[in-house]
Amino acid sequence: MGSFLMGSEDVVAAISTPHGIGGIAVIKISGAGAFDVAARVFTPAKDRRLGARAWGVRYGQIHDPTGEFIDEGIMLTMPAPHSYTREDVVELSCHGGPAAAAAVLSAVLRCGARMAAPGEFTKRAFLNGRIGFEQAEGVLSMVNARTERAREAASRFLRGTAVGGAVVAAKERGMMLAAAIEAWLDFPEDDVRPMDAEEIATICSELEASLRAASEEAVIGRILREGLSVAIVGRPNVGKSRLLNALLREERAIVADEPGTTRDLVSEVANIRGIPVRLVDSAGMRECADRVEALGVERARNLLTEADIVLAVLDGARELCSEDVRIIGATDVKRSIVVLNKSDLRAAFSDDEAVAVAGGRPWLRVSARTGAGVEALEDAIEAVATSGLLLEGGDQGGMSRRRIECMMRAARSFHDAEVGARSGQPLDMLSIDLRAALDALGELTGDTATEEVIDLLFSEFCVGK
Amino acid sequence: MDYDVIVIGLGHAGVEAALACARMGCRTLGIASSLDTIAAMSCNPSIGGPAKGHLVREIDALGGETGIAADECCLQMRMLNTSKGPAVQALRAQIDKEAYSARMRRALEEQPGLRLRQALVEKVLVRDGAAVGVTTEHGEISARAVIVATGTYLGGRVFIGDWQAESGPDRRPPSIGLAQSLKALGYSLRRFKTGTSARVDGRTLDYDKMARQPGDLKASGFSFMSVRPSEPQMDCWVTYTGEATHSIIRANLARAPLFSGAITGTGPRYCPSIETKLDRFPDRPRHQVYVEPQGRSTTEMYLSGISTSLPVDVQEAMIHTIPGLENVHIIRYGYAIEYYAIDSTRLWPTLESKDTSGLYFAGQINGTSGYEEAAAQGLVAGVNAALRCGGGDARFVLDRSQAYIGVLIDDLVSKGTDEPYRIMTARAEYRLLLRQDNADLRLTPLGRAIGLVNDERWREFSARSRAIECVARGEEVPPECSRYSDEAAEQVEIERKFSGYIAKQQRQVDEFRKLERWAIPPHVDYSAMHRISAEGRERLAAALPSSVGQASRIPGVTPADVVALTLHLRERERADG
Repeated sequence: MGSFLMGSEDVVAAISTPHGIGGIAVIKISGAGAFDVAARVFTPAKDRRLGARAWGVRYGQIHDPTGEFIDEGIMLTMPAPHSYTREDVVELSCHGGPAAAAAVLSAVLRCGARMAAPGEFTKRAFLNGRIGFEQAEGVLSMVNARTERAREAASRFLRGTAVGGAVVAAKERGMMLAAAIEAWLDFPEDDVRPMDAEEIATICSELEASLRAASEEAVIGRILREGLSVAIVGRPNVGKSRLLNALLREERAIVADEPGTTRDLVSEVANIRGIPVRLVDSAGMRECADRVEALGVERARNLLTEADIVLAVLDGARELCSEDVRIIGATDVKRSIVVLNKSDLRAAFSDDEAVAVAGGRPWLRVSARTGAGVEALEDAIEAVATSGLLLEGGDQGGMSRRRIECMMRAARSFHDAEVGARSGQPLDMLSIDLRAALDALGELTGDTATEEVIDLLFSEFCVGK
Repeated sequence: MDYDVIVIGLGHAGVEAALACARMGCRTLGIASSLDTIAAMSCNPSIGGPAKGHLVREIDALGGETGIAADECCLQMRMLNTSKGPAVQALRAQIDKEAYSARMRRALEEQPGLRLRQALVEKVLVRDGAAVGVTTEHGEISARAVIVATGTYLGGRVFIGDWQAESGPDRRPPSIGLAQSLKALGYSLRRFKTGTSARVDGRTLDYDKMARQPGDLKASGFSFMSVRPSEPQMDCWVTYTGEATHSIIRANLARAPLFSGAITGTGPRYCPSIETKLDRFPDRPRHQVYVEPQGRSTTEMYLSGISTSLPVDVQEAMIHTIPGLENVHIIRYGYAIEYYAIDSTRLWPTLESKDTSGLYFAGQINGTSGYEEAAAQGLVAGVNAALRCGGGDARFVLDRSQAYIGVLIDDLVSKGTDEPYRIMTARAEYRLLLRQDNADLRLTPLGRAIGLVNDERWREFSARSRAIECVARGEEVPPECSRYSDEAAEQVEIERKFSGYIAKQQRQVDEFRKLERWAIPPHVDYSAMHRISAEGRERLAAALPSSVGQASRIPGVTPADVVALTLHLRERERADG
């Protein structure tokens, strides 16, 4: 529970411009302490005194907390309550392009801000009485829509990835440590093994290191490289792999005329109008008996819910079949584009028929083989990407950034606990940092740490007179 | 109307409830089946320990009786966890059971406005959804509020081996009729179970084979009223079970009512019987046994750590394998006791029933265990019953950031419990702020405001807080407060030394309070809140949380439900202008 409603006092940050395009990116920081965070990553060219509690605009350098230069930029300060969220707000504008924006955001997060949850600025504005009910209702629908998707995505993340595995392992070990400490604190007269500060420090430092390594891996693997995820779905042999190659402009996926060649997901990053786009091709979506392929089909279904944009590919030279209709029907109207492939062959249906099939989605004709229409498709992708709908509805990138932020927060708290243990702080103080670390990991795994620690305490330690 | 408030049961909850009501000016009647066993310690002869000791300090800070009585009747006093930090330090006292009971009876007798009656309550009288009195075997007694504090007596049944009987603790009469009455009123009753150890004759112990555990040399007491713990201190003794003990128990597990299926009630995880310990931790070579004195005027001693309901021949055999206990004479055998508890989520945070107005519940009947947990609830139920009788809308509710009492009651009414509940410091999110050393600073002004803190206590509190202020400002402590100079220095030192951590917790508390203070008006119609999930609406309608914060802690209510709830509340506020 803590995460969504309670975290309204801490400093949050996010990239508030649409992803990856335009000349300028804006990183918004909100919350009491936003000015302190900004002061650690921004040095004004003139008048180095910061923190004047007034509206202000300054030009200067954006750097990471160690002082390493990232970009030149503008800092806009808006003290509470004269801001959108009614909190202290800082907006850092840097040069556009996802790499610079991500680097600035990453520096801000390292200075004590946490990644804003989707819709969190709006939520804060609402809780602080800045905006009214109608506006806030949008936030709610988002939270509702997100709950199921996020839960599914979280469980896949935890089960299916190396980073997720590291989180689960760190959490289990952290819980054991917490349970051992709590047992010793709450049952001092029982036969419980005393906890040694050195041992606590060692465990905490190992946990910090593993979480830092995992989040770095995740940052490199997903955030900085990933912009938008675009899934290519469609019945077998409609030319999905060829379309992927056309967008990548290179031969990557196995291309054959035999249906069902692409059994696994193929993921590649393309540069479309300056936006890094992760293209994911899927196995043909078809009920099929072949178990190996069935696995691929299952993942393709998941893709529909996880991807930012879905390209629903049809064979434009063949009659529409019920599978095509079902596939298009499974996509979100606002986040999908219908692609009629094979425009180099004779069209099997008219524009009017195409409009009807697309059902309000943008649609176009493409020949992946000749490259005709591929530019128009890139335009369409850019249009959806910049429409702002993605940031509201389905930013899977935001999800994963949030995960990384949770991992970093946990790592920092384990670090604090280690430092505390080494400097002789008593156990009840260390437990504050330990609990904060477990809460952060619990946000990832969806558990409440307190109850779990207590359960573990009783199952692992023989306590009670 | 015969009385303002009737308190059923005069155990640890009932005593605090009756005293609070009378001290707040209510004409109060305390009824017990036997007035010779007031505030009986039917289990361990001890009070306090981590979190439990915190509760006692808080009860004392609010003007309750438990702390002073424990200090006056203590046999041994120890401050636990002294090396583990200020938040988890706690006093634990061994208590002279008989003296404690007599001390509490005297407190009740000396309290103006409080009457006692020995009787067995058969029925709670309810008219138009409100409690209006009780029926005993001697007739009806009317009142404006009733507090039920029946402990383990309600539907009590004790077990030793294959022997069992309807009984309260120590073979005192159980309360059977009242259980039927509560069922008839629509309360769903659950079976909980707890257990106790054998008591032995101290003259038959071999002390040379056990480790002596003395009390603290410079003992302090629970009460902020500078009550010196009673002297001289007595020793406890530590010994261990061994393989010989365990093989006897294992060979007879089938005869244990816990394993034979005779006991169906749920027992506490933190106070397992010795047979359960062996079952759950088969690899442990030994289990600790504390041999604790029960009083200055008796040789009877308590064997803490080996509660059991094994048959008497097995109890004899296994106890005699324990070093120091080879030739011990058992005075009372250990037994298990099953009793009824209500579903505590059916209570408001005032401990008044959501289903019957004017009917309050406190103590073990709410699913808790422990004298301290019971006493804390008794005090809260008593204060709220008295406030109700005084008219007006005032309620006395402490939140999780104010007191362990708040943690305890919020856990009970928001989350509920499916095993006997024990307070622990691990349950308190903000335990660094809820220290035993600052319980008076947190709570005595609140106790004064409701009328529980008398002038004498208020004078002492004022002097102590004055001394702390002076030390904090670096000023000289004035002579009239100088008796608190040492304590003040200690207090200020803790705040200074851990200021970083304290500030961290304070920030968490500030966030927590935002939602806690967002009140949900009574009588909101959850069924009309279409944005909340169907399950969420159902849970909220059943739980009727008083604040958005409390709503967020109800099991089954999702974060999205809570956001939706806040939207509906805002909408309503706007509609109401």
